[in-house]
Amino acid sequence: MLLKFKQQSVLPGFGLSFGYTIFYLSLIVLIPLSAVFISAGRLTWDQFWTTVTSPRVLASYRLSFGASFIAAAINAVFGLLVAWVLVRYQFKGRKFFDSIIDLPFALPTAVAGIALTAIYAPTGWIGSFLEPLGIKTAFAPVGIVIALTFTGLPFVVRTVQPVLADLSKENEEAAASLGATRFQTFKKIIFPEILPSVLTGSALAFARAVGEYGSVVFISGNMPMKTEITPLLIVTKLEQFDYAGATAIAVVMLVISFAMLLIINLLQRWVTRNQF
Amino acid sequence: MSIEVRNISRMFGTFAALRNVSLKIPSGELVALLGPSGSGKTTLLRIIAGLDFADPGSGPILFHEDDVSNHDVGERQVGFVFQHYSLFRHMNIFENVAFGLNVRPRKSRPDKNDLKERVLKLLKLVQLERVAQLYPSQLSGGQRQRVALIRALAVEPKILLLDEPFGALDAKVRKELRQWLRRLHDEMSITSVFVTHDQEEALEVADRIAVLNAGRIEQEGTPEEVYDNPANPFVCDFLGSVNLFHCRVHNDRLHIGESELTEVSPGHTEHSSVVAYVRPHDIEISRTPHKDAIQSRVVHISTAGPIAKIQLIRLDTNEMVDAEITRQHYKQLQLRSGELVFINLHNPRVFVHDYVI
Repeated sequence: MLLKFKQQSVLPGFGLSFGYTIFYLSLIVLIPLSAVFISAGRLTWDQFWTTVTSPRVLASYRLSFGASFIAAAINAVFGLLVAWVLVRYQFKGRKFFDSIIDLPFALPTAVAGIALTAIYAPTGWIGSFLEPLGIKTAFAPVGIVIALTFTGLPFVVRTVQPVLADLSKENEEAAASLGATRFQTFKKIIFPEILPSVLTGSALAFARAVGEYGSVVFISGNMPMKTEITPLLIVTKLEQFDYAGATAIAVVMLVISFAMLLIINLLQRWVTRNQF
Repeated sequence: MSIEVRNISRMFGTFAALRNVSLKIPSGELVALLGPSGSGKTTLLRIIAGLDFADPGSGPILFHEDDVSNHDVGERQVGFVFQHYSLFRHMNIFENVAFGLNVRPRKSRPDKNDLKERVLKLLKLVQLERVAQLYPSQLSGGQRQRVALIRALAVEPKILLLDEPFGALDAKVRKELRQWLRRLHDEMSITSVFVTHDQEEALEVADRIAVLNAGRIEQEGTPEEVYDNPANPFVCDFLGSVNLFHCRVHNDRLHIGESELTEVSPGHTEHSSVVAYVRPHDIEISRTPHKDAIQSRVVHISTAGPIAKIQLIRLDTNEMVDAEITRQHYKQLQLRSGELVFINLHNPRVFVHDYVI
């Protein structure tokens, strides 16, 4: 099998480029990741298990993965909507809005965190309206979801946009000529075509949200058991010189994240099973 | 159901795709809209379908005397077949064909068994019942086009519209499918309009042909009418290869250089300068000099195929002339390239103005 790698090609250099790819991936991704496992290996199994299942850590998993999942779900819906509007309609300022989408990518996440906190704090523009209604946003899980939605938006929009733009108009016309209503055309023709890209975008947004740190720590308030996300817990442990404990939690995050991405990829493959 | 459009215009920006087009299509006929790219034929088809709309000020679109110009595509009950099939790739063939029935309002939707029966019957019609569970990507181009056709027929449309239905297929499959379309049309006798840029396809399949050019209908009639009596140089040129001869009219006869043609050309004034269009198969090659013959030299001979194609050069003007003769005639003549021969012209179509392609 391995020997079959080599194929005749007009552009030579497979060996060199493949070797470089492996080397680069190892250096940048695989070796650091394996270091996490090696470092966690200094703990005994019991120590590892007590660290990663302590109530405070468990609460942080629930918050981190739960808030990330909700944020990714929100982005799936509204990111699709934004992409739809940007692709399907011509309006004044379309290019401007289009470039604003990238802002959460470009902005240092700490800046986003400070900005969001300023707005959603009980004294902020929006927070001061929500506070009398009994809705607490900043320093509560809701605030974390808002921050994660903010950072995840571009992922869905930018993955769905090109797919929507490439959709053939003829398919919609064919559906209409066969008597389908607009809603039926969207549900049965357009949505199945863009579903894979929505899934990919959401998966990316989710993965990013799980690892997000900068924008969350300001708005969350970091109360143990309540608004403490897992990445923050890792930092806390590092500050307490509990390196082994920090890497133990890191290993759990790594495994869960990997499993989630795998599931989403399988889901995507299932969705696209009949397309080429 | 008959179709009639009156004074249809359509502008795309500053480009006039259709200018004041009127066309009547009798019920049950198979009509070809023939023209080069950019002539507006597809736009006209899409306007008939309701996928595009004519500019304000255009006349009505009548389906059997009913004005449908304000109805959208779903209400017009037309079957539309797209050039690139436009099958739904996430649905299998059965689901594709059943789509139009499945999206009907619950009241008029056939029940499950009825639907299955109808779809399978259609699949059988195009001999594709065995691929019902496959997906479009697993089918050949010809199979996909047949699926697209029965998908359009499944909703029992009153009119069938086909946009370059065989354009994306290879030559052999195209030929088979167009004969098959003709048979299918004869069986179902549904009013059908198809767009094509292939004159051979239009001449072979259609009951009537409308030749379009630059947003206008140049001529409309049966294949024989448009081929034998083209209304203008464009139609003459578009319906097949043609040779041009500049001539004078004298005593109601055509004169080409020193030669006088036996063919009479009434309706043109004395001494006027006219152009005679002669099809390659109307050029006769002989070895004996004759007073109406033009002396020419054989330049190239191509005998692969059902007819022999001879390329000649006129000695008087050095213009190229294409001739087509039967292989049998070719064998009798024993032509060789470089040889001097005499050509006679038959059935010239004479137009006053030259036409620039």
